[in-house]
Amino acid sequence: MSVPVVFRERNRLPLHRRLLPLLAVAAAHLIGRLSPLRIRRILTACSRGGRPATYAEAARARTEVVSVSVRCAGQGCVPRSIATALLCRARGSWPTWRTGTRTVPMMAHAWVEAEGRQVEEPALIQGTPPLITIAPRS
Amino acid sequence: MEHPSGRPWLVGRWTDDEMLVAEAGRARVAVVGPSSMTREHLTALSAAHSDALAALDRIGRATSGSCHLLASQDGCLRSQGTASRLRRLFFTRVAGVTVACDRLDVLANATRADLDEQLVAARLMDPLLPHPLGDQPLWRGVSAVPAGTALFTDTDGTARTRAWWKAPEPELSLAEGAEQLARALTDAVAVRTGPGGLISADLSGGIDSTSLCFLAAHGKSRLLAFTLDGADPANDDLAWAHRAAAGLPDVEHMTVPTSDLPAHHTGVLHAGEGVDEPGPGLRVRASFAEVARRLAARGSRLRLSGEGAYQILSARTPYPHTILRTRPRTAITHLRAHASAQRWRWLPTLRALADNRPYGDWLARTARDLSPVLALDGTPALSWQMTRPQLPPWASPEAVTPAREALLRTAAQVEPLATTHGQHEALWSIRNGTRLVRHLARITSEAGLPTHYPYYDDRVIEAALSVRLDERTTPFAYKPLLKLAMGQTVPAELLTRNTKGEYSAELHDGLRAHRTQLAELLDQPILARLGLIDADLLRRACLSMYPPRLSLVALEATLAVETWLRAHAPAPTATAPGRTVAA
Repeated sequence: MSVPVVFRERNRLPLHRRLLPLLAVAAAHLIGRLSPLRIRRILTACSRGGRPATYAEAARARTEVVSVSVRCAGQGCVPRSIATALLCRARGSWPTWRTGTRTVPMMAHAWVEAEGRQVEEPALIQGTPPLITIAPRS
Repeated sequence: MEHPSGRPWLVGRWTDDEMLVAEAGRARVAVVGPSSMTREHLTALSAAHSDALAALDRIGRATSGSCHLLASQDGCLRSQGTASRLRRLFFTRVAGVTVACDRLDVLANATRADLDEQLVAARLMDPLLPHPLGDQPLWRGVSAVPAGTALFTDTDGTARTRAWWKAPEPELSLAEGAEQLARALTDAVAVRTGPGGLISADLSGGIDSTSLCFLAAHGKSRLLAFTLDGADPANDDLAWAHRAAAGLPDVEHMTVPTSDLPAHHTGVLHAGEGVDEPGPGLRVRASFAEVARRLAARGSRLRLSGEGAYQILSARTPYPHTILRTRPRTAITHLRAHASAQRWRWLPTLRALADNRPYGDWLARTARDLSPVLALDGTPALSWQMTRPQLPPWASPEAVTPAREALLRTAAQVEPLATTHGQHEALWSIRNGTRLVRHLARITSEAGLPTHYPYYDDRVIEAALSVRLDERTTPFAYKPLLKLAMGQTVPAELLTRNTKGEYSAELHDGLRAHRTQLAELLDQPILARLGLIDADLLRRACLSMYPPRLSLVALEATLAVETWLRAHAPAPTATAPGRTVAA
């Protein structure tokens, strides 16, 4: 695996565009602390009615989330991925939210996918089998 | 090599290009190891000084490379290794004469020294073994000359040590430092390419080794670039190595899949043989030796490694503690990023920032709690040492007492390596790093191809350490000092890489592949006989489920001590009759 060693560049958002991402991040922090079962239930409920997100939509949401939250920009893959999905949903779409682990070497990760690809994730998680998948339902 | 008196001065085996001796009057000066020094220059420098012993100060400062320096005049001697600790010296008295040696085991054998079991217990704390415990010999009666210190021997055989090296103050800007680093690294590589012929250099695809390759490609030797192809599909090192090789002029590129080399832990039962202290990294002993043999078979005379760049190019996370006092705004920005990336809790972080205890007090306090530190437990890494000393979960209560005593005894008399947390940690991590490569350098030499570590040359270390802590380290840029220094040498595209492949898949594969040998090693471990570990707990950790969130390095440290004891401890006292174990 290949380890990212620095923070991605974080672009500052203009004030009026920060509210929605901040709300998504706040919600994601609350949801991310629950049990996996609850997370799955809540996200499944949230995904309802969303059309599949395009890669561009998901990538934009992820960038905005990272720019308003230093936690999400760092090691906080759970709040980051949840916030990204919620932000997409607020705009009418839903990416595939996933979490998975690999055992050798041990690693757990959460991420989002769109158009069949991981969104802006480093090579790091390739080969990580997903345990929970919440895909858009069409 | 003899004194003018005809008695032996230096005893050893060196090739012609490893050893340089100059005479000036009654004085002799020797340089052992790769250096920029020529015989003429050395003679001139020693002649310019009436005191050859004092002349070593100037010679040391004027020399690039990594070498032992030795002087003899009127029966007095001065001997020193490097400030990096890559080249060390130990001494003891043998038959009334003070003898110094670069190998501990030789002196221990000569004096039939006993093991210091207190220090053996302390070694289970590796790699978080605090300064200066990692420097102390595990044999009684043999002393180590600290890094950056010289040994003086008088005519009557009395020995004393005096420091000749001081770490530079971190006061240069990034731009000033980059210029110095570029010069120092260029010289360091030139020392190795100077004699011509064919040399090999690692080309992992990371910017550290890539930089060395580009510097070496402009030297007088032909270059064979060498890349290991990792087993993990997510390791993208090879792709970067190919891009780098395409940009190198006239270079042969050799790629070897790690699956083609001996797995990690090959020969684990004999891993401690021929090394003078328990060493981290001995699990790669067989594969390093194999690579050395293959490269030597191609006609290569040495191998350059990018190891050491990580240790010298960035200060580690205790540095915000230091810069908070001088540049609070930068410190807070950096702290927020570090705290978030590593999930530090805020209250302990604030407490750690306010903690101004001297090194000795901190060390004494750490002795109270030696329980294992788990990954991401929220503890901020801002103290004198990134993570406090700890014993693994399989250490027995009987190991805690001597380890604690070793810490307390040290705490009472120790000075830190530098006055601030940031610079102390940087120096400490360099010394921990050279502990690893000192062994590998020797193992590869014995296999026919010495490994050289230009990033651990004293001149290179000085250049890197003289840059301000918060400029050479930032959570928002990857090795900014090296990137700036190599801007003219390495194509910009290659310097954009912000990741590095890692090889823990190989480590796990090696543990799995050698379960039988590990089981044999841990069947009746010497550490258990000494009462220092709970053998069942260790076996379980090593052979079945490893404790979650505990670094595998803890296991490696214990295995290193065990294999080293196996090679060096006196044979076990006879087991009671009838208790012979059936194989």
